[in-house]
Amino acid sequence: MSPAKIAYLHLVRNKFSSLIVLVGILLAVATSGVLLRLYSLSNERFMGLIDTGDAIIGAKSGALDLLLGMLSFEGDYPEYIPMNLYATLKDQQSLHFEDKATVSANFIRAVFPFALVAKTDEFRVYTTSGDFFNSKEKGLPEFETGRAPTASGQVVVGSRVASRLKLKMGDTLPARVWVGGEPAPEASQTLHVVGIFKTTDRAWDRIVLGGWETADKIFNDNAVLFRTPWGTKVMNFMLVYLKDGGFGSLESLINRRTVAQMVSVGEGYRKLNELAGTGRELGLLVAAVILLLGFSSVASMMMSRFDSMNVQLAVLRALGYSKRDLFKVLLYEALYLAFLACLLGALIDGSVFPWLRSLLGANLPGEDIVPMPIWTSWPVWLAVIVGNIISVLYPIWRISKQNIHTSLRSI
Amino acid sequence: MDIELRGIEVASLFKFSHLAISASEKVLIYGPSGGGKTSLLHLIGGLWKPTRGEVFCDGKNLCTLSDFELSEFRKNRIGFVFQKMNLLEHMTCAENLELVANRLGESAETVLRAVGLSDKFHVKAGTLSLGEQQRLAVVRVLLQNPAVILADEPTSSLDEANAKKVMELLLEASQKKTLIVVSHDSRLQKYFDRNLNFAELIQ
Repeated sequence: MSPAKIAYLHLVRNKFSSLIVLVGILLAVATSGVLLRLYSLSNERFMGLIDTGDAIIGAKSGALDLLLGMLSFEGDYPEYIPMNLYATLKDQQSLHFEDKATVSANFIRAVFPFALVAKTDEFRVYTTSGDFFNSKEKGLPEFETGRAPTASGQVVVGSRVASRLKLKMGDTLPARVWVGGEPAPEASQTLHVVGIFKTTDRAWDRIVLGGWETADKIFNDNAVLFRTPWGTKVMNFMLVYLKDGGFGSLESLINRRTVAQMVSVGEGYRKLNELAGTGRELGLLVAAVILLLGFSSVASMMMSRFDSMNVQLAVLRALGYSKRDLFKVLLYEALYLAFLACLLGALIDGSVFPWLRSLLGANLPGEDIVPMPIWTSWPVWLAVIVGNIISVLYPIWRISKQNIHTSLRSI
Repeated sequence: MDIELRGIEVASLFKFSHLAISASEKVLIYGPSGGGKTSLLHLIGGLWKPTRGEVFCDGKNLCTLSDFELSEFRKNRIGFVFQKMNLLEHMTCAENLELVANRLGESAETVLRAVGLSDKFHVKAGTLSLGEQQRLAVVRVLLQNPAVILADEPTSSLDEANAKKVMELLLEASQKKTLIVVSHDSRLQKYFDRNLNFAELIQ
């Protein structure tokens, strides 16, 4: 009889003890898998944030919403800010206030407006000014192929959008208008792909970006939906690049004297990391501890099984099974347990994770932002398989030292 | 298979200068319990090595063989029947037989029928009576078809009828083979070519 079959029979004929160990390991696999995916999810969000610009300007809705909205293109539909603010900053005009104060916006190096106008498949369609596509500012996406949009309906797509929707130059894609609240249920716009961005491994990869002509058309077509003092002359964000020393002046201008709010990109990054970093590391630590408990459970089972199998193993040795055969028996037992635990644990992980993700809501990026499929738990599975193999090393060492004569004499 | 033990010394347990058993010989080694008979059997079966001396089987010195070579030797040349725990209790009778014969052909069923275990083929060995377990252990040796059968107190836990059945089976299994049985049961002497008093051997 092969060692694999001996191991199999030993496991299935000792159902109760095998089941207890199996449940212990599969729960460790499931829990660690979920925690690892939560960690990866959180990590991916921060690794994928757009890393450019000095400041973001948006509606006074909270720094976190602003940062995630502009740097990760996620969250609820962002509130509007007036378009004339963009014109003021771009033209570096002087602003005169009722208290006779005058502020000159000459600290701006570059500024780009952004408006969320539609959704295509799971990807968001933004619009920006034409000069964005030619800007040489660090961290902005570059063209893989194509050109900047010059007319309404023309868009450049990120690399993930292109690969996911299998898009190439000249293709069209349907889009559902989104100008507040939820996206329209039906697609009413047709977008034409005129360019594809290079892969950035940032949120740019999942953007569909049109020129401001597209925003004008969609806003005007849906003017009835706009209940702002500025009509359809609005945008959602501005990405600002500042000259040296310009930060304080811009903050003073935007936060004190306008309806908008300014957030420093660098400071925002730091705060987001501080906010989530400890939790993420703690989650990873807990996952590791749970895995360790799973391993110690297998190791303990293997040791106690060895003790109870001492005579049986000696009988097998007397029948001609070599030490190597018995090593294989123990290894197969450990691997059967590991693979079964990984399979069942992954099923639980796969069922629980989407529920947990929806439960945590806005605290985590949505499925459309970071998909995080079940196979991303593979490090846990690998760790369980390796850990199970390691856990049989002690019984294997004991077998190598086993005195068959003494074991049989104990009958 | 010819067996020869020379200048054997096993720690403080026993020592003797020479023991030879020729091929196809049926030998009973008898004596009181605790004297070292089982240890002698384990020496012959390559399960243990003496402190001093040499154990030859067909001219091959077992004391110089590696663990793997000894395992192969036991697998191909030696069949054991122990006093108890002959079988893996969580396995069925068929599976216990498969431990020595990868494919169980008709011969297994025929032998099981002959020893009155035909209806126990898929029954767990742990649920068999001691007599049935011993008979199954002998069937396993039959299927293994070794050159030497070593039996350690094969009848000690059995009643008269079962002891007789097991001994007859053992003798049948050991036709043209070497059979060495150690026992304190003097009733068994009638079955053997040679009866060896262990106490006299180690003097």
